[in-house]
Amino acid sequence: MADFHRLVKTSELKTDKLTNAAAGNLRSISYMSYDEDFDALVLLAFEPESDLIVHYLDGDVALLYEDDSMQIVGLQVENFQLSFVPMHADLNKTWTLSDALGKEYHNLGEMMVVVERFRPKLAQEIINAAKDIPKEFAALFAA
Amino acid sequence: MPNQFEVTDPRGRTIICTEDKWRWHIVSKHGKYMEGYEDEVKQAIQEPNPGIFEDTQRPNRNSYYLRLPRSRKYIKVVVNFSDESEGYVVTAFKTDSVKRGEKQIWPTSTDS
Repeated sequence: MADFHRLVKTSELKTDKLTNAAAGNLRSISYMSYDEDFDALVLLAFEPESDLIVHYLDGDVALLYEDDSMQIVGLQVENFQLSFVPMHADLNKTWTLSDALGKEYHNLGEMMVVVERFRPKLAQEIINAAKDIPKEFAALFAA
Repeated sequence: MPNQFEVTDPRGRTIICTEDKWRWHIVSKHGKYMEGYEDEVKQAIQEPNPGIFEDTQRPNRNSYYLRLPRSRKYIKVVVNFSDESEGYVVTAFKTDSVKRGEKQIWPTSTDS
C-alpha cells in the first residue's frame, strides 16, 4: 500500500491550546457544522488564526490544525452519515434525534432550541467515538 | 445556477464548480484562507500531482490532489460524478496527506 504521501507526522502537531482551554486558561468555542454534500462533520474548538489544515488519522477521522502554529483546533469526520454514525450506537441515537422524534414543532425557533440542546451531547459522542484523537478534546467537551 | 469555473481533468472529464458551492461550501466552511486558492483548486483538477484517487466508500467520488510548492500541504478537491463525462466539485481544502484507503486511479502505470 502507498505511504499516503504523508508530509506531516501526527507527533509534530501541538495540543497547547486544547490543554489550556481544558484547564480554563483559554477561551474556546464549540462550532459545529455538517456538510451534507460532502457528508462531513466539522467540530472546531477555536477560530483558526491561520490556514486550516486537515490531518488524516486512520479512517475517516481527521484533526484540523493551524498551519502557522501547528496547534490542533478541531476535528473533521468524513463519511459521517454513511458509516461513522451507524458504527456508534450512542451517536446514532443522538444524531437521528430518536429521543426527540414525534414531537410537534410550531416554528423553526423550537427546532433550533432542540438542536442547541443536543449539540453538546453530540460533540461529546463524536469525540468518544473518534479514535486516536488527543485526550484534551474529551476534557474540553466533557463540560 | 452560475458556475465559478469549469475545467477539464487529464482524463478529459469536465469538472464544474458552481458559484454557490465555491462561496458557501468551500470558502465559508474551510475558512477565508481558501478564498485566494481558486487557481490552485483549478490546477489540482487539471494537473493533479500526485494524482487522482477513488474515494474509500463512494465509487462515484474522486479526490484530486495537488502538492503546493515550498510547503508541506496539498490542495484536495473532492468531485462527485453522475456519469463519466461530467463531475461537480463537492468541496476543497488543504491537507498534509492523501487519505488512507483511497485508491490511486490516475496516473496509472500505463499513463506514465
